Amino acid sequence: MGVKPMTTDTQQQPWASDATGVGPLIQANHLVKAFGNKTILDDVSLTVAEGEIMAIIGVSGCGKSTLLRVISGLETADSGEIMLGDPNVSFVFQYSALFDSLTVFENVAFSLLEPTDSGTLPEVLSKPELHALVADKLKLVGLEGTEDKYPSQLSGGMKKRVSFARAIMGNPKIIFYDEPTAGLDPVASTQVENCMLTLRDTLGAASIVVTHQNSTIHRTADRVSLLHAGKIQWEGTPAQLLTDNDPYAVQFSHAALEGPLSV
Amino acid sequence: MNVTDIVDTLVSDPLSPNPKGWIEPRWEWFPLSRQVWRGFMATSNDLLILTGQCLLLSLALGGWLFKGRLHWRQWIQAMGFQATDALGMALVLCVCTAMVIALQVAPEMVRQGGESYVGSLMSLAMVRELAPIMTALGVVAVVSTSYASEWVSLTNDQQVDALRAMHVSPERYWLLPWVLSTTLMTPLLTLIGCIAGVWAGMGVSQAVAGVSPSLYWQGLWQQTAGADVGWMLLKGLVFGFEAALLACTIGLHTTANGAQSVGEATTKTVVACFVVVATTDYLLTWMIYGG
Ligand SMILES: Nc1ncnc2c1ncn2[C@@H]1O[C@H](COP(=O)(O)OP(=O)(O)O)[C@@H](O)[C@H]1O
Ligand SMILES: [Mg+2]
Repeated sequence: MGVKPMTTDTQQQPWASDATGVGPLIQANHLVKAFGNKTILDDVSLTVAEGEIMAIIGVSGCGKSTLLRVISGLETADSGEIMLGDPNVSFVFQYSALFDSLTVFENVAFSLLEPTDSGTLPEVLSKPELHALVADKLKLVGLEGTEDKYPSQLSGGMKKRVSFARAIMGNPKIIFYDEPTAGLDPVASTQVENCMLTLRDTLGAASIVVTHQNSTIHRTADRVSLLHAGKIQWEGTPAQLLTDNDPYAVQFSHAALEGPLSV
Repeated sequence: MNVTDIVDTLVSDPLSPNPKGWIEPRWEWFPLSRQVWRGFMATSNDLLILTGQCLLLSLALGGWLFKGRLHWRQWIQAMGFQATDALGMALVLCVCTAMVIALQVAPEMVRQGGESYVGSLMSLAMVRELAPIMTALGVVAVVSTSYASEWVSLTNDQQVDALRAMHVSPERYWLLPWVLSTTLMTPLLTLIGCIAGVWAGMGVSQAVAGVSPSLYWQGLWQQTAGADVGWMLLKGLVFGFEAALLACTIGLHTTANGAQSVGEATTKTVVACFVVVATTDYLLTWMIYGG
């Protein structure tokens, strides 16, 4: 376990984009994170450019969620450096994380209704505008007409899609998805994947998606990183994941029991 | 396990070497049980840490309040919850206590010719002591448990993270309204509980010992100074603050990992609240009436 001095910098600094204008929006260098004496991330570095989706794959419990939480600033790294090129960041959580005392409408519109800690008031929209905007996002995830329901009245998959709608409400430039399609039926899953692609293509959003689901990896990801034992063991395109003969890639894509991912 | 076994485990030395590196006496001079000593040290240690955590949280919440960043809607909702849910509990506890006192005391007093003292005794008991304490117990049972478990559940299903990710502090959004409303509502509940209790005490005194209501009220008013009512409200304020702050602090520092952590936080909260309310009650009473 490498113990380095605290150099964590989770402030969202404007990233100096290079001459082409397509600089990385997410850059993480040498992240180390331990819980107690268990090192979960051991020198992880990654870069995601504007308009790019990176998938993080790996066995359960290998630290994928932790990596997302550290990069997004929800958790502080023990050491390492994080640079986010845009302040408009959003997070889709592994569990739906809907506010259960609020209706679907209030959940989705939350960022447009609630002032932030610094007292910044959201831009004031008229009621019809707000309703139209929420209806629009709910339609994107296939849940039109659920505005007045409470989260407890929705199924797990529906909650997850509402939480997806809430996350994309502010047209984020940087998005972290933690298993956004896990537990969804194939149709809902495709809807969510299409939303991810729309955000990437229309806004040039940079995203990291943690997923186990083949459809999500192959339909959305531009690049795939395989996390294991605290390090990124393999990196490549979704197509390479199927053809590469790296032992990690082979075991993951063939769902084999034998291989380096087994403990 | 028989008694010798128990004594053996207490006095024997299964814990050596000192696991946490705490200060320990020279055992050869103090043939004291190491388990008892370490239990004592662990409790003091936890208490010290909890005190520090409470202080930090109250500073943070005070900061939000000072900056005028209280979430009004959440605050009003929390006040409503206490006015409805905790009020019933406070009423039941205060009324039953007052009735029991009347039942025990009124016949005896009447027998000894002290009919006019029933009211003043009731005032002494309820206004000075039992209304604040019984209401505090009701608030702990209804409000503190609810807040500790709710916070851990909110953390469990990532609602806390979701709020943070949207740049809204969960402490400001949930904990500040909770603590503020409990602090303000508990004195009010205490007052209502006290009034209801005193009335019920009168009813019982009249029914079981024939104490005349006018004599009862006369004794009660003679005994009750304005200051007593003020101190009663102050006690309510302090107990309410403690009950909510402890619940929030313990919830905040419980590792949320499923249903078990919810139960753990709730139990810890009730125990801590009872201990702290009982101790501060003695300290406050001593400061107000003891000198
Ligand atoms: N707050 C925490 N405290 C202690 N251990 C944690 C915490 N969060 C996660 N872990 C541990 O870190 C490991 C990685 O967790 P996680 O990132 O959720 O895995 P994944 O998302 O890849 O399934 C797990 O072993 C988990 O038990
Ligand atoms: Mg995870």
